[in-house]
Amino acid sequence: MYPHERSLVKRLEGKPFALLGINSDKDLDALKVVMEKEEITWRSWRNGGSTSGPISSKWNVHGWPTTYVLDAKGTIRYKNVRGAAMDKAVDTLLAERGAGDEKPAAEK
Amino acid sequence: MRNVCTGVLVVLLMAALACAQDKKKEEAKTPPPSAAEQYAQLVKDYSKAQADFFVKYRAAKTSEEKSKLVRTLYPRPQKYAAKFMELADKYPKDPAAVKALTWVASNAGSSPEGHKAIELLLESIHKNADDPSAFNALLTIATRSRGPGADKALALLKDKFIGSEKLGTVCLSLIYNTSKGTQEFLHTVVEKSPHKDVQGAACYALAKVKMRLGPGAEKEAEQLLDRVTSEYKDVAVRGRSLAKLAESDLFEIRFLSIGKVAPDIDGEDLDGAQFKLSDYRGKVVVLDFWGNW
Repeated sequence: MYPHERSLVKRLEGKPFALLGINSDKDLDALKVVMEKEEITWRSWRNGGSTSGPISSKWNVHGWPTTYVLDAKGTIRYKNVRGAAMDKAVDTLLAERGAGDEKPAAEK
Repeated sequence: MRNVCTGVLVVLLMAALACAQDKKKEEAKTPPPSAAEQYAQLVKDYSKAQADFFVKYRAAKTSEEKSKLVRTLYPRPQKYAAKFMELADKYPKDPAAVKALTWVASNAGSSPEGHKAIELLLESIHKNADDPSAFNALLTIATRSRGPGADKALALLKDKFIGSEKLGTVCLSLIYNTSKGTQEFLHTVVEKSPHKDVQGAACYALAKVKMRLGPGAEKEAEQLLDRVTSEYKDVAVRGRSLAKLAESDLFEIRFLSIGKVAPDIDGEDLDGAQFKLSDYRGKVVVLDFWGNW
C-alpha cells in the first residue's frame, strides 16, 4: 500500500485532494520510525491504539486495510478500491468537481 | 534352609527368563500397525514436522533466512496428503479411511488430492450418514472448502443433520461465501433448526452474505438484521451479542453505504492534535483504515 499511496499523494500535490488515515497501531514510537522510513506524510487519526478502537468500530471495519473514497461534498462514492482502481476513482471525482485547475474557487 | 532359599531363587530366575523369552516371541509376532495406528502416526509425523519448522523459523534472524526456511522446510500439507490418500485407499472400509480423507479435505482442500478426498467422502457419507465420523467430515468440508463439494456438504447437512446444535458455528463460518448453496443452506437453517441460537446465527450469517452481494441485496440484508435485533437479541456468539453485531452492520448499511454523506470523524492525530473529517469539505478524500502489521 505505502508506495502506491505515496505516489498518489505526490501526483496530486496542490490539487483539492487529501489522503487521511485511521491508524490502529498500538506502539506509536515504532510506528513513527516506520512512517519516517516509508515517507508517510499524510495525516492520520489515532484509533485508540487498537483494531477495535472507536473510529473503526463505528465504521464497522473488520478488515485491514479498508478504504473509502469521498467526493468534495463528503458523499461516500467508492469503497475498498485499491491501486489503479483507487487512482481512477479519485481522478473521476476530481474531474467531477471541475478541478483540473490548481486554485479552485471553493478553496480559501 | 539355605538350600531351600537357593532353590526358590533359581525357580524365580527361571520363571523370569521364560517370561522374557515369551515377550520376545510376542514382539516378533506383533502384527503390522492397524489402519488407526497408521493414521495416528501420520498425524504425529505432520505435527512434528510443523513443530520443528516453527522452532527453526522463530530462531531465524533475517527475513532471507526465514523465507528460505519457508521454501525448503515448511511441511506442505499437499505433500502429506498423498500419504493420507494412500492409507484411505488401502483400507477403504476402515473408519480410519474417513479420518484420513477428512484430514486431506481439511488441510489441503484446494489441492487435487483435496478435491478427490472431498468427492470420496461425500460418496461414502451418502451411503452411510449414520457413521458418527460422517458428520464431522461434512462440517470440515462445509467450513474449510469452497465450490461444488462445499455446496454438496451443506445440502447433506441440511437434509440429514438439521437438528444439530453445531450448525451455528457452520453458519458463522459462511459469511464470506456467497454461493447459491450457502444461501439455501442458511435459509433452511433459519426456518427449520429447532435451536434458537442456531437460527439466530444463520439469520445473521445470511444478512452478512447479502451485504456482500452489493447494493441490490441491501434491503434484504437490512430486514434480516432487523430480525436479528428483535427475534434473536438474546443470542450471543463467543461472548458477543448477536444484536450488537447486527446493530453495527445496520449502521453501515444506513450511514456508510455508497451515496450517503460520510459521518464526521473527530479525533486526535498521531501527535495528539485534534482534527475533523468535515475540515476537508471541498476536497476529494481517501480514507484509509490502516496499521503497520
